[in-house]
Amino acid sequence: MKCKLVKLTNISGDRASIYSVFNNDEKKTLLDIFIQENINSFKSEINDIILRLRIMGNKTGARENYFKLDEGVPTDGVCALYDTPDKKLRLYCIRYGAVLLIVGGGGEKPKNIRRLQESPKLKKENFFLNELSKKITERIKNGEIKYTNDGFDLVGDFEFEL
Amino acid sequence: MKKAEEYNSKIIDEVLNSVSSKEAKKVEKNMVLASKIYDAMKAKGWNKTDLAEALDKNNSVITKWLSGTHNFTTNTLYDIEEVLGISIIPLDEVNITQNFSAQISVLADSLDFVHFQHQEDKKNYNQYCQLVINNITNKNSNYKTTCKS
Repeated sequence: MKCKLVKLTNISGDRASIYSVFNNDEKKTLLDIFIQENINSFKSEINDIILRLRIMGNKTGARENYFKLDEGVPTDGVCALYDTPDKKLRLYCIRYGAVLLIVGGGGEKPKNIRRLQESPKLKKENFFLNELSKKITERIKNGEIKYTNDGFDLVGDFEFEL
Repeated sequence: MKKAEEYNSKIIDEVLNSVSSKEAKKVEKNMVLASKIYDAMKAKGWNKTDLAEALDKNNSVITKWLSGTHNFTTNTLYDIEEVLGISIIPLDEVNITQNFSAQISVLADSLDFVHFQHQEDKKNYNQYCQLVINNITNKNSNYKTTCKS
């Protein structure tokens, strides 16, 4: 599967650059798809999530306290936007400090399961970001992706084959 | 090396346009409060457990507070201020700007309807009202007061 990182201009700002992912030749990012899949059933949660992302981009940065960390393999940076047990949605991201955030997909937290990874949909979204995170880390190590001088952005090759 | 392609999502715009400014402000305040508390914790060298113990709470409560999704009560904020030694709610000086245009007309109208036992009282009241009206109109109907607690 081919995928490409893009910077989301509507919610990025001078505190954090926020990215999402286009898969194959789709016209929507993973975040767009997450919104569309859930806006009808969970509108207020979607509003809250998008507002929080915009505030991170423009006001506070993507601080670690806003996330549930270590939702993937430890140290791969995969995390989930914080949600309380009463909330219905889970959204996975990759954090690079407080200034760079890649927003992936997510979905509804099903009831009656012990771990969210038991949900096929969430497992798939989490797994995808884990794989993407590995590829990005490799490219950063190889110098194919670099941080800009101010550390607020990335430059390099953002197309991946997963 | 190139930066990533920029993408302006119409779907995100639709969501943001559907949200009231009041709702957006509320979410922002909760997130900024969480950041202040988090920064104060770090400055003090505390982790979540330290704050939880100082306030006799569970760690999960502190996690929620710091997540930026919690609606704080003033009592909770006072407790946090106390243990962290910070000021979250400034009470020293509050600038209140009020538009007195409505009050001006009420005040002016009241001159004709107030019953005075003595002519001197009416004169004093008239003078007082005039003073207030002048004060307000001189400031373009925006009368700024500074309240000190």
